[in-house]
Amino acid sequence: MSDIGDPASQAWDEPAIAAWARMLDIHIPAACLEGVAANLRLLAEHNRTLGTHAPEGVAHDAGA
Amino acid sequence: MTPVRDIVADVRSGRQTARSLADQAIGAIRALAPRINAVTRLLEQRAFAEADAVDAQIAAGRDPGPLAGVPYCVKDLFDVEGLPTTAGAKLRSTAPAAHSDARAIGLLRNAGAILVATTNMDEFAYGFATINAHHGATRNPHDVTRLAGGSSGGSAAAVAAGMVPLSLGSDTNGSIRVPSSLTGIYGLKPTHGALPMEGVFPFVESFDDIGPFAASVADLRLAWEVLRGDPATQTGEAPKAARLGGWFRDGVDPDALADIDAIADAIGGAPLVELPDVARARSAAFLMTAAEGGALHLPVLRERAMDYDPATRDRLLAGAMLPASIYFRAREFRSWFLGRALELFAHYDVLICPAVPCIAPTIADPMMRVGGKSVPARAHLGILTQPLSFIGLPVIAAPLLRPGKMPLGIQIVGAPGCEHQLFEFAETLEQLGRIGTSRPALGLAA
Repeated sequence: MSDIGDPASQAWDEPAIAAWARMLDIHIPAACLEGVAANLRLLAEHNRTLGTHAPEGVAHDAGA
Repeated sequence: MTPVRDIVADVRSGRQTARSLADQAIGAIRALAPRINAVTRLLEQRAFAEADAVDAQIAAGRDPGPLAGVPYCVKDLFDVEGLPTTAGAKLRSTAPAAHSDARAIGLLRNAGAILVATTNMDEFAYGFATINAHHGATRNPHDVTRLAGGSSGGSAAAVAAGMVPLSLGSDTNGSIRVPSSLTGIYGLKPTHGALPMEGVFPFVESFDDIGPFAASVADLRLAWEVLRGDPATQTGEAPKAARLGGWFRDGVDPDALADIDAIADAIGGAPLVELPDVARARSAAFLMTAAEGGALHLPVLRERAMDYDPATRDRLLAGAMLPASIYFRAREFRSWFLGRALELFAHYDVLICPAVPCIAPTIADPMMRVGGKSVPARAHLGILTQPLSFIGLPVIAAPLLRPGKMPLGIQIVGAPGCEHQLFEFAETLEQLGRIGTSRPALGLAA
């Protein structure tokens, strides 16, 4: 995991993904870029659904 | 399928030998392997050695245990002594052999059960389809043109087809509940942490669990009791049930909803209740899965990315790039969502809802509809299971009794540690004729 960037705010074109991956010291083979981009877009969609506001009454992670 | 208790009684009484049962299971696997593709490794030598040990105990007047002579399979992510633990990945086929069996296998062996095979799965358990790039897709015994579901699809199909009466799988987001529902058998995803994970290849440790598949509630309960190490409590009181609405009914096969409503009527009522923000819960589970799975695999992905199944690799790489801030927000949401679920359990013992939104998609076109869009079944068949397992709740997936139709399952959901209430409720539904296995179009189950 990284603390760099926010998927929801990225353009998510392939050069941007490759550049970000390089910052994380991850080499993404050229053949994988399209697939990784599609999955990042899906994660961005889930991130938007999750939303940015914390639910009320959350004090700590109780585990599950 | 002969009930497990009858198999055990036959072995204990000497009417049947464990060796003959192992031989039958191996024969059934060989006969059905080309059509169903449920098994990855047949463990013939080991099975006969275990069976002979059980028969020797019987001959010596000792009791081999509550699963004496019962053949079973395990998903290909349990350590089996002497074999590499592949987790369904070609890149792990040359991994060092496991030094010992997974603890769950040890518990079953000590109870007299006979391990006969390892079973097919989505690579590294990342999928709901059991479409494996190396081993191929596992086919549904009720219609071999359709998926068995996943990721524990091989273990489910082996029981559904009658190859073995019991098997083990793992469930992180629905990998027991989805395939058991699509193949028409029972599966248990226990309370998180209730069963031993030693010797099980991990995926998302925050909500990975193992559990059994079986053809009846009684068989499932027996496997649970052996794995848990104590008999399930029986209160004798009818659990108070409610139906989960909202997210758990939107876009679901109308037949499944009608059957669930009929169950409510049959038990004298089960009101519709809702969990809030289920869409956010499902997304939180999806994000945590990607992040933890990606982090787990990143060291190997850096070295051998091209050796992964492309569909798994691209999902894991994307997950490895997910910012930690998103992961921790998802965890925070999980804590809140668990609290809302526990509020419902203050009023009800069990919650019931569908396990899958539709019958098994075809292997030729493994897509399904979600929110009006066509999406890959591999990633989305667990849309109804994910929000429940990521907060660690125990769930029995049970097959609706619908002879002549493709299987659909329901989830019977309980509060943490309350598996006994799930079994009591499932037994009631079985007695009422609302749930139960039906004979597959292809298979040996009687």
